[in-house]
Amino acid sequence: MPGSIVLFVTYLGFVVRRIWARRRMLLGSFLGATLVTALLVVLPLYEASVSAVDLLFTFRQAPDASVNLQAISSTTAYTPAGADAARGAVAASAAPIAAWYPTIEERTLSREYLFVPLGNPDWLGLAEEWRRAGGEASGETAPYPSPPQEATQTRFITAPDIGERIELLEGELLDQQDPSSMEEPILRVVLGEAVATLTRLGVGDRVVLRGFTSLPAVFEMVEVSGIARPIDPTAALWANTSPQDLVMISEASFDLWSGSFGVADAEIDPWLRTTRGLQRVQTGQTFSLSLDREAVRLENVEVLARGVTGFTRSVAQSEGIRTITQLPALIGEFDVRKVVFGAPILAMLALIVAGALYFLIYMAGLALEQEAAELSLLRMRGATPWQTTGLHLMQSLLIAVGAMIVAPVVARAMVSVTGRIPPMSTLTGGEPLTVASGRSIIPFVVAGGVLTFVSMGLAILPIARRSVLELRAIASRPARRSIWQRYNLDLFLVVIAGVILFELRQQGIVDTDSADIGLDPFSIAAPALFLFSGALLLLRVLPWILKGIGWLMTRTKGMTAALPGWHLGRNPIPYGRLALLVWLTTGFGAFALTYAATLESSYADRALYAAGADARIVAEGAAYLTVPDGAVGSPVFRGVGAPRLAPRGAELLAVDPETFPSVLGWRGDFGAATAEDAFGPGVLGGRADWGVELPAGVTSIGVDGLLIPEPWAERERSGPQDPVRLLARLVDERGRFRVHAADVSFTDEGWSTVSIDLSGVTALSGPLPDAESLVLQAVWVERDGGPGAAVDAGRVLVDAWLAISPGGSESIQSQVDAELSAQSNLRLERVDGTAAADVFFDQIPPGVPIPNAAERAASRYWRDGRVAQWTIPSATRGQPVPHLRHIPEQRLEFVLDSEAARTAGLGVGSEALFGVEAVTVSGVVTGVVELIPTTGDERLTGVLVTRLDGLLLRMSAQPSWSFTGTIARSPLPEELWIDTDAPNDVVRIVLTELGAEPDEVITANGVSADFSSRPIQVGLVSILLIGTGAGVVLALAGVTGYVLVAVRRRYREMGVLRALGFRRRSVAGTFALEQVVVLGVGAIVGVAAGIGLMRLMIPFLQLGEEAEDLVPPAIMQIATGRLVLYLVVVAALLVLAVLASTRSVSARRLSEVLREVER
Amino acid sequence: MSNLVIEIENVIKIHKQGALEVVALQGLDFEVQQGEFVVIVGRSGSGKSSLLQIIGGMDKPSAGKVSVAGMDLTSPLGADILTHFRRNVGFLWQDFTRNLVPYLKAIANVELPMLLAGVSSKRRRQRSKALLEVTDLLNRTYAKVNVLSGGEQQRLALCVALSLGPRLLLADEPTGELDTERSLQVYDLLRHLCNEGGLTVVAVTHDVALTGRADRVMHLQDGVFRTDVGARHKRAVDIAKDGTIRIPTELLAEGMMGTTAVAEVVHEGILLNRGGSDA
Repeated sequence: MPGSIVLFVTYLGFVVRRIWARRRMLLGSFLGATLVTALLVVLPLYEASVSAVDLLFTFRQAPDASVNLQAISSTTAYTPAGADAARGAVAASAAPIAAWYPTIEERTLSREYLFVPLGNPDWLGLAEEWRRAGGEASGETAPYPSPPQEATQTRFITAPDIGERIELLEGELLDQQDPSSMEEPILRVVLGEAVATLTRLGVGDRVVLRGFTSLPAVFEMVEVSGIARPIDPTAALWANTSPQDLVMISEASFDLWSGSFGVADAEIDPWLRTTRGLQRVQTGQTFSLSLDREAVRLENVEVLARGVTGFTRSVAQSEGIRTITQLPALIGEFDVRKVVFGAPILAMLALIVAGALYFLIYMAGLALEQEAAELSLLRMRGATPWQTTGLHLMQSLLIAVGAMIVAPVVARAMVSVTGRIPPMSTLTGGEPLTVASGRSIIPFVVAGGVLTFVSMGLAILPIARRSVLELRAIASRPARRSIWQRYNLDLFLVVIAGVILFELRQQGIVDTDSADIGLDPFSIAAPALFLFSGALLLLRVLPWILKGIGWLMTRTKGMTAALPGWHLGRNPIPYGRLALLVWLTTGFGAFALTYAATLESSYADRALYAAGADARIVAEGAAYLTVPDGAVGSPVFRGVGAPRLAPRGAELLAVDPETFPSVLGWRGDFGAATAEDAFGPGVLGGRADWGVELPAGVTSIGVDGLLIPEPWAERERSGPQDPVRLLARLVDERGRFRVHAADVSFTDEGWSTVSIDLSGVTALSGPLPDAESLVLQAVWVERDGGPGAAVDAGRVLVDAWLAISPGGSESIQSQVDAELSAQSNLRLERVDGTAAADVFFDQIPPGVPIPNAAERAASRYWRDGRVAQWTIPSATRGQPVPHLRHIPEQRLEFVLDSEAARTAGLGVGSEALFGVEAVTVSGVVTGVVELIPTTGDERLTGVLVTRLDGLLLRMSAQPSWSFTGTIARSPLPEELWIDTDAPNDVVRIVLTELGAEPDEVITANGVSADFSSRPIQVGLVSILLIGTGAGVVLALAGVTGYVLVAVRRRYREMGVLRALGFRRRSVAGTFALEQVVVLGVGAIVGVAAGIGLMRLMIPFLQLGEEAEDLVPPAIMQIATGRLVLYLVVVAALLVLAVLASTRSVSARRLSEVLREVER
Repeated sequence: MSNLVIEIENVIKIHKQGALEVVALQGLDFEVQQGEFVVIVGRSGSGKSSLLQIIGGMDKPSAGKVSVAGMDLTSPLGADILTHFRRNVGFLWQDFTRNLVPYLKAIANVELPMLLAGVSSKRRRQRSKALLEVTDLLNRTYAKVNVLSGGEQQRLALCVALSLGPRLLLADEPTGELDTERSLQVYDLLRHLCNEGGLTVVAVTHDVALTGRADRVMHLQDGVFRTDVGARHKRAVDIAKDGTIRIPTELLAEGMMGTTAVAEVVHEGILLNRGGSDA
C-alpha cells in the first residue's frame, strides 16, 4: 500500500479509537447529527406521505361527479360505425386505468324530440284527406305533423344494457326492430313513467316524435310498447337526465332507426314518404367510468392521477372525445392546499432542523471543550493546527457519515410511526403511515451530512490555532462570550430576520399573485430565524438577568442558595449556551402549542362562520320547524339585495332580531361586541305591523258580500255573473303566510255571508299547524275555476267583517277599513248599502211590475247603511291580483357589512332605497359590521341584514291567484339556524319533523371536523408534536451533557466546599440549584419568545385551503393550560436530568474529589 | 558550535490577570550545557512552571532572550514552534493524563508524536520498541494505558517524550505521583539518558532524591535564582556524643542535599557539601 494510504488508515484508526473512547459525549453529537439529517430526510418523506394521504382522502371523500369520468362523443349524425369507433377508443384508452375504473357504462342520448299528439288536430285524418285530394300531385304540401306550441320534449336514450336498467311497469322493450323486415315499419318505444303520464300515452298508443330542428318530413310515428321507470335513478347511466322523461329503446333498434331507410311502398306511409327513419340523430354517446374508491391506494394515487390525464388526452386525440371530470380541478385544489398547508409544515420542520442544528453545534462545542486537554497534549507532541483540525474534521465526518446511514431509517420510522399516533392515526386507522421511498431522499441525506459535518467541524475553528496553554485554559475554564456576540453575528441575524419580516409583510407567505401558487422560500426559514435571532439577542441580556437573580439569591440566609447566587452573579456568561438551548426548546414548544391552539380555534371559528350557528338546516319548510327543548331555532331568509339599488347585488340575510342573536356564532372582532349589539331588536327594530290583528283563538272570519248584479232586465238576457270567491292571506305568529278561501262565493243573487275557515289544514298554501295568533294581511276575490279571466270586471260590496271564535264573534270591520288599502287597480270606496239594489232595479224586465220602495228594501240586494265597494278590473292569471292589503309605513332597518356600506357610500343613519329580491323598499342603515357569518359569495358585493318579518311583509306585496292552479308561494325563509349543545341529535329530531330530504345540513362541529381532519392539516399538528417531543429530548441530552462537563470542570470548587465541611448532598444541591435557576430563566424566556414568535407569524398564517384569505381571520390563542402542563413536564424532566448528572458529585468521596482537585 | 542547549538572558515574565499584573520571572539568566541534568527547585509561585513553559516554547517571555538548541524562542516563531516541539524538546509532566492519550495502547502512545511528524510506520515501530526496551516496558507494548502502574505510565510518558529524539527533556515534577522506589527508577533512567544519550534534562521538582541525581540544582525564589540559600536558612542543630547530627528535612530540601554528603573542616567549623558516594 502506498505510504499515504497507510498514513490515512493509521489516522483513521486513531480517530475511530478516539471516537470510541469519547462515545458518551459524542453520542450527543451523533444524536444531533442523526436528528438533523433525519429531519431533513423527513421533509420529502413526510410531505410526500402526508400529501399522499391527503390525496387519498381527497379521492375517497370527493363526490362522484368529482372523481368519475365521463367521456362524451358528440355527433350531429349518429352512425353505428362511429359509435363503435368511439367505444373502441374509450376502451383502449381506459385500459391503463382499468384498475381504478373497472367498468365502463355507456349510454347514448339524443338531442330533444317533441311529442306531436295525433289527436288534436287529427294529423292522420288530415293526411288521409290530403291523400284523397291527390297527395303531392295536388300541389299541396303534405300535412306533416307539426308540434303544438307547448309541445312536450323528450330524448331518446339507449344503452347496451338498457333492458336491465329499467323496471317495466307495463308492456315490453323490444330488442331488435329492423324496419326492413317490417311490413309496416314502426318504431316501438318505452316511455318513462312521467312523460307517459304527462302525454297521457299508454301501451299501444301512437304518437309522432319529431326532432327539435328536423326538416318537416323527418319524423317518426312511434308506438308505445311499454312504460318504465329506472331501477336505480342515481346510476351513472341516467346522469344529467330526468330518466322518467325519456324515451327508451334498445341499442340495436336505435342503430337501425337512427339513420334513414327507404320504404318500398310509399303508400304504407300516411304522408307517402319514401325515406324514413329518425335520420341524422344528434347524439351524445357517454361513457361513464366510475371510480372504485377502494382501489385507490397511497402508492398508486399519483399513477392514477397521471392515468386520468393520459385517458383524457388519448380519447381526445383518437376520436375527438371530450372527457368531463373534475379530477384535474380536484388535484389542482389539492396542489394549492399542499402549498398552503405545506408551508407551515416545512416552516415547522425548518424550525426543528434549526433547533437540532443548534443542539449539534452546542454538543460539538461541549465535546471540544472536553477534548481541549487532549488537543493541548497533541500540540505539545508536535501536532500542527492542521493536524488537530484534521483529526476533529475526520471525527466529525465519521459521525456525519454514521448519521447519514442511520438517518434515513430513523426518518422512515418517524414518518411511519406518525400514522400510529393521534391525530394521524384517526386517518390511517392506526396503521403506520406508508412511506414513499425513492432516490428523492438522497439529496436530503447528503445535505444533512454536509450540514452536520460543517456544523460540527466549525466548532474547531475558534480553537484551531490556539496555543498549548490556551487549550489547557479552555479545558479548565468555561468559554467566555459566545462567538455570536464576539463577532456581533446575533445582531446580523436580527437584521436579516427583520428584512425577511419586512419582505413577508410586503408579499405574504404564499405567492398567490402568479398563476401557479408558490411558496415563498423565505417563509420556511422565517420562524426558525426569528426564534434563533431573538434568542441570540436575548443572550446579551441574560448576564444581567442572572446577575439580578444571583444578587437576590445572595440575600438569602442559607448557603445553599447564596453560593449559586454568588456564582451566577459573578460570572453569568458561561450559562448562555445552556439557557439558549433551553429557551430554544421551550420557545419551540410554546410556539408549537400556541400554533396548534390557534389552528384549532381557527378551525372552530371558521366552522362556526361557515355554519352560522351550531347547526343550520336549509330546506323548504325547515325555517319554522320546532326545535327540541334546550335548543333555540331562528328562521333566516337568504336572498340578494342591493343597497341604493346598486347594479351589483349584495348578499341578503333576513333574520328574526328576537332569536337570531342567540343562535348566531359571533366573535367580538366582527364589528360589534355581541351579536345582540349587531342584530338585536335594538338595531333591527321590533315586530312588523302586518295588518289586522285578529283576536286570540279566532277560528274563522265571517263576511257579508255580493257581486253587484247587472240591471234586472239585462241579467235576464245575459244570465248571472260568475260568482267570486273571497280569499284572505294571513300571517301567523311565526311569520308564516297562509292563504284561506271562503266556504262559498259571492254571487250577484244577493247579499250572502261567507265564512273563511282559518284552521291550518284548510290553508291553500299548504297545511300548517293551527296558529296561536293571526294577522289579516290581504284580501281579494277570484272567479271560481274554468277557462277565462281570473276575475271579471265587476263590483263587490263587502260588509260586516267578523272574527269568529268559539267564545263568540267580534267585529273587525273598523280595523279592516283602517289597515287594508286598495292595490293593483282595485278601487275601494264607501258606498250606500243600496248600491246593488239601485243597479238591479234600474231596469225592470218588460211585463214585471216596478217594485216599490218597500219591496226594494226587502230585496236580497238591499242593505242599510254604508258598505265597502270594491271595483275590480278584469284580470287574467298573468296580471297582478287586485286586492286590499296592509301597507307598512316605516322604513326597514338594515345592518350592512363594511364592504356593502363602503360600496354604496352608506353609514349608520343613512336612508336609501334598497332592492331586496324583486322589491324596492325604503330602508335606513342602523348598523355596520365587518363580517357576517355564512356570507362571502364572491359574485356579490357585501352583505345586507334586515328584519325577516319586515322584509317578508314588503316582499309579499302581491297575492297570487290560487284557484287556477297551484298557489304561488310567498317568499319564505328556508334556513333554520339552531343554537344547541347537541347539534347532531337536534338536527336528527328536526329533520324527522321535516320529513323530507334537506338541501343542506351544516353543523359547526362537522365543518370543524372536516377542516381539522384534512390529512395535510393533521400532518401539520403531527409535526408540531414531533418537534415539541424532539425538542424536549434534545434539551434533556444537552442539559445532561452540559451538567456533566460543568461538574467535571468545577471539581476544585466542589472539593473546597467539601473540605470546608459541606455535605455531599449540599454540594450537589448547590450545584443543581444553580443549573435549575438558569434552566428556569431559559424556559420562561423561551415561552415568551415562542408566544412572541407566534404573534409575529400570525399575519402570515391567514390563508385558507385554496390560498384565499382566512375568513374570519385566525386569532392567536394561548393555550395556557397546555403551556403550563408542558412547562411542568419539561421542568420536571430537566430537573431530573440535572439531579441525575450532579449525582456524580454527591456520590464521590471527599478523597476522590480532592484527588481530582490536586490534578 | 556552542555546546549550550539553553541560553536565557534577563528574562522577565509578567502574567496579567485582568488589571492585576504578577511578575513571575524577574530578569532571569540561565544556561544549560548539552547533556547536563539540571534540577530547579522552588516553592509554589516561585516561577518554576513559567520558566519551564518558556523554555518549552509554550509561552513567551515578556522581555529578555531565550534560545533553546540554537532556536530563538523570543522571535516571532510561526511554524518554528512545531520544529521546536518535534526536534528540540520533549515534555514529561506529573499528571499522567497530560502525558498520555488514555485510550491508546502503550506503543501507539509512543508512536503518536512520530505519526504526527510523518515518520514512516516501520521507523515508528523500531524507535518505539527501542524506547520501550530502554524503559523496560517491552512486555507492556500492547497494554492499554489504564492497566499500567504509575511507574510504568511515567516511564511510558518518558518514551513518548523522547520518541522524536529531542535534545532537551523538560520535566515538571516527573515523580510527583510515584512512590520512592518507582521515583528512583525514573531518576536513574533520566540520569542514564543524560550520561549515555547526551540528553539534556531540566526538571522542576520538590523531590530531594532527584536533586541528588542532578548535575546542578538551581533554587528559584520570587522569579530569580538565589545563591544565598545557606545564609537565609541557618538553623541550630544538636550534635550527639557519637557525632550524629539530625538535620531537619526542610533544611535538607533547601540545601538540595542527597542521601550522602562530604564533611569538610573549615575555619568556621564543619561544612556539609552535596555529593558523596551517590553523587
